[in-house]
Amino acid sequence: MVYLHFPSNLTEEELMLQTKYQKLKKKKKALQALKAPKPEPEKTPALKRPAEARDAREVAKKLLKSGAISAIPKPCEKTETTGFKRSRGLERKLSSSDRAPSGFQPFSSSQGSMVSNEEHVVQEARTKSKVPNLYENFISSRETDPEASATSPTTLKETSGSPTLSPLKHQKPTVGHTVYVFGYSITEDILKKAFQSFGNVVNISMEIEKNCGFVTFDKTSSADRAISEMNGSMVSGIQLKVSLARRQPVIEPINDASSSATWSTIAARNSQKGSYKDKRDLVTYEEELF
Amino acid sequence: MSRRKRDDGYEHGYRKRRRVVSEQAEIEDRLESLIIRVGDKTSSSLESNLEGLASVLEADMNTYKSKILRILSECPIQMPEKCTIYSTLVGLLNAKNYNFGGEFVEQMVRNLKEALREGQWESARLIVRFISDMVNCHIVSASSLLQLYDSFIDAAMEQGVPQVRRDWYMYALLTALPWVGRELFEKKENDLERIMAAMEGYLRRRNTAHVAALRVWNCDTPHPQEEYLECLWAQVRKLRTDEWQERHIYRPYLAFDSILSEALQHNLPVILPPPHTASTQYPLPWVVFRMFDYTDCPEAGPLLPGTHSVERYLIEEHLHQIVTRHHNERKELATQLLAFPQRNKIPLEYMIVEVLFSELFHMPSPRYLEISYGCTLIELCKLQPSTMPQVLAQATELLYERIDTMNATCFDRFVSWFSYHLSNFQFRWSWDDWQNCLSLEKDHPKAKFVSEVFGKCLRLSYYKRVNEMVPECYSPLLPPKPEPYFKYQTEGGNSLPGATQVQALTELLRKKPTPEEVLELIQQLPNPLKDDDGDMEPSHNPLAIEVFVQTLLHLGSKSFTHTFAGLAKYHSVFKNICENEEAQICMLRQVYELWQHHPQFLGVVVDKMLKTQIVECCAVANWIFSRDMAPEFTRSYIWEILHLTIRKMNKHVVRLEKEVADARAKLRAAPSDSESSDDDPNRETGEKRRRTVSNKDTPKDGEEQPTEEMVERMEERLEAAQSDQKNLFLIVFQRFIMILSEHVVRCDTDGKDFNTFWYQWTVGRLQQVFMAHHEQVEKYSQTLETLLFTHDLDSNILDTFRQFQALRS
Repeated sequence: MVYLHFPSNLTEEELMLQTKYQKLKKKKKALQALKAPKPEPEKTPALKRPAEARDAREVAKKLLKSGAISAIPKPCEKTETTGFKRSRGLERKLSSSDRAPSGFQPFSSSQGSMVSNEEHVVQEARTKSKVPNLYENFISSRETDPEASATSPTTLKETSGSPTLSPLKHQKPTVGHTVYVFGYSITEDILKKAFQSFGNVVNISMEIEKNCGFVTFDKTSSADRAISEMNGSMVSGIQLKVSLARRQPVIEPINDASSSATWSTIAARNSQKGSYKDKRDLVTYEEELF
Repeated sequence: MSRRKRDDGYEHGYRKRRRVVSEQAEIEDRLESLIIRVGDKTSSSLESNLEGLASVLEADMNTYKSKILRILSECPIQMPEKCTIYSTLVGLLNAKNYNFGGEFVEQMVRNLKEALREGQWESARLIVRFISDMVNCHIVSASSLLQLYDSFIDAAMEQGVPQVRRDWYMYALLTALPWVGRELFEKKENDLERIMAAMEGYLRRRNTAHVAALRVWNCDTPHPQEEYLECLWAQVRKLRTDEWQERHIYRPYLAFDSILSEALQHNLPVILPPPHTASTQYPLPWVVFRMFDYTDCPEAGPLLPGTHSVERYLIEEHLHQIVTRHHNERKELATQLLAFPQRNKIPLEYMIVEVLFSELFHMPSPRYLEISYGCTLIELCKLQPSTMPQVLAQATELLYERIDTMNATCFDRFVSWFSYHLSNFQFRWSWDDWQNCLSLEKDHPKAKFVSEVFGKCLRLSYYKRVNEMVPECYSPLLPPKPEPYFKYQTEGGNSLPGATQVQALTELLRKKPTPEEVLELIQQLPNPLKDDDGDMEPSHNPLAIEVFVQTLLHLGSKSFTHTFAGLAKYHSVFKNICENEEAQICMLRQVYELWQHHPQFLGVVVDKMLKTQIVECCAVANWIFSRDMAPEFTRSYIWEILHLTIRKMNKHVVRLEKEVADARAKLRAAPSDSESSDDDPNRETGEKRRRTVSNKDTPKDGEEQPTEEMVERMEERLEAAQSDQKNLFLIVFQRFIMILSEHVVRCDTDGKDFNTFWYQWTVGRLQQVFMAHHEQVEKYSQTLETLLFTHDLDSNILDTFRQFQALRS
């Protein structure tokens, strides 16, 4: 029987990983030397296997402890080389607009997500590059909550353009993306027309029998504005009662897929009756030909 | 030493069982449910459960031994995810009762031999894995397991047998190693290394020509699409460099180490793999589907195991097993998938989505109905609305981005799934992100995908809805309004040849005439094929066909029911004017002209015409490849029609085959009352008598006993059908070869690159025919090789055939 010999020198992949590790070390040093006021994201080595990934995590942990980094974003280089993963259109979208957290989580206070949302905008405005994961921010911003709200920059107000939005707002538990609309014999079309001026409408679901509907925006500011401007107003001869929906679907986007929010909202709403109204005429086949 | 007087044991148990039936049955049922449920979630720990169950079984051992043996030997095969739990249980029993351990090992060996003989490859593989795991629990000795491995290695090295057979033996070994690798590494390192070396040698010499045909994507960036055995080998090799430490398998026996290590071990008897026979079917190879890597998952969450880490394989296998067990109940399946034991340690949603898509895109065909994966994904979205829809949306974007290199078969499945999913999500999608497809040429996979999705959505909703669901800029890709196109009612339609007769026929048909009256009217039409001086009678009258088919189908265009009623009532007219293939092709052309804007209707009408034998399969095949259909050639519905045609033919052949086989069996079983029995000298009288006797006990099922004559007639019919089938395949492949060669030659003379989108689609469709009907095509592989796929053929076309051949070689 032939015995297998293992080459003592490293394989290509291992060599690649080693060099990557070295690069990482250098970057870490450079980073610490920089001592930026707000630490910039650190690069993680592109490790495919958990065994090696352990090392990566070790490094990351150290960095975290030392306070050198706050979160681990995706390595930018990676996203460039594998461009297929995110379409260009998406990138555009990401840099231009806020995203819509949606979905239903009954016991989670929406405060965190609110903060994280802003934080998100901040980051986007600052880096103008690939945004780090929202969930990351969620955690990190919670840890540094006072600081985050204190440093909440003016860019936020500019982007949202909302006078009602102030740091104080964070303390209120009633913030959300979905508004509840009540009005006699309202329809989806009426709601769509009436509310699309406040922002991007992610989803509308109707409960026709109860004369009400739910409109989900991608930004909480849009929802706020919709409430303040539309409550009590007349649309198509119908008086509307607009308030924040009691059930607030909150979903932290875990990826960049732009339809995530829409699909999540629909799945979370899961209104059994279905909101779509078929507008086709009934076809009759009275004539019996053959 | 493990050979006990097992006959006595069985006799004993058997006699006793008869005496107290009801009470005993009750206890047996209880034992069974206890054994089956061990390891399920309870308040107490698994260890204490196992200990308790072991003592219960120990106490009842004498009375219920055979029952316990049977259940215990089946459980690890039926519930492979609980393999280690059962090996621990058997280990505890073996520690208490050495003889039982021996009998159990014997039982497992018997089961393994049986499974190998019967070709139940998946069961056999799980038994090998379980036997390997028994080494960990000190039931089986490591040296005798290595003996089993050696005999499997020998089977894998055997010459002159199909590679699929040898692959299986290799695969069975490789999948067992994660379980027992560490133990062997500690106790028999040298032997383990020897086996690994032998495996490496095997894998190096292996032929992997089939890979190209089985890949979902024909490119390896960003994730290599590896052959299953090679991928598993890389994973096991990686496991070896980690000193055989894996972090996925839950091993309850570690807690019982002190008890188990004192138990005595049994030796496996020598197990020789049954020899290869021509009729044995082996599992086909596959390619491991990879869609995500760790950069796709949220960074805050757990890490996705790497492609070559054995954990990735173990988790995937576990998920596949959950799918196997619950594939009939989508809700249960979704619940079970989300309740995956180590769900917090892995990005579960991503792994589930990858596993479900890998099943959906499995080549040559998915294990279960395509739609079952679609509805499972919807259930998952409902159960996990915060994450699942997002992962799916991300997956959809990934698949769309990579669709350029996706094979045509998977392209179709992706279109079907996505449109189905959209139909459950109010047809909402961020179409704005895909606008780049609008600037691409229309045969580009991305543009094609979007327009095919619209076409499919149309079937799941209606025209207006589909138009409303996308931004206006998509209108070039939207399907036309699905209406019949009746040219006689368009502008200038009155001056078309036959227009007056169309008018007359319409009026006549409104009066509900008999088929004869209709025939009389259309036979008055002049035949444009007839020369003035020609004495040759033309094979058909194209004008008559045109007038009749268009008018009838237009009048029946209101619904499928109307059309079917028309086809049924005037069936004889169709038969009369469309006797030969040319006439049938002419008729199909008319059907297409009328229904060109409504692919679904066209498909249904063609299907109905095949069913009622108005057209023959070969005519449909020739029509699809005809010049008239060239503009539609790359559209999916055309291939849908071709596949339904081939499938119809295949079904027919399979049914006849079964009928003949049944009749033959019946004839052989009851020869006494059939007149043919005496003139059949070949049959042995002894056998005959025995069979007759056994047959008397079973009552006749009222069916007529087939006579030799009847069977012969059936066989003749089968032969005719088989030759039709062969003919159909020959036509289809010949037309493929012609159209592709023509294209290559034309591009050559024009000095252009032949590798256009059109070419890629057509080769993809050729591959699809091979894959979708591989079981039937395989029968004619020889003929195809000698007649069509000869060596002088363009190598690009020939490759497709070679890949198909390599599937089973």
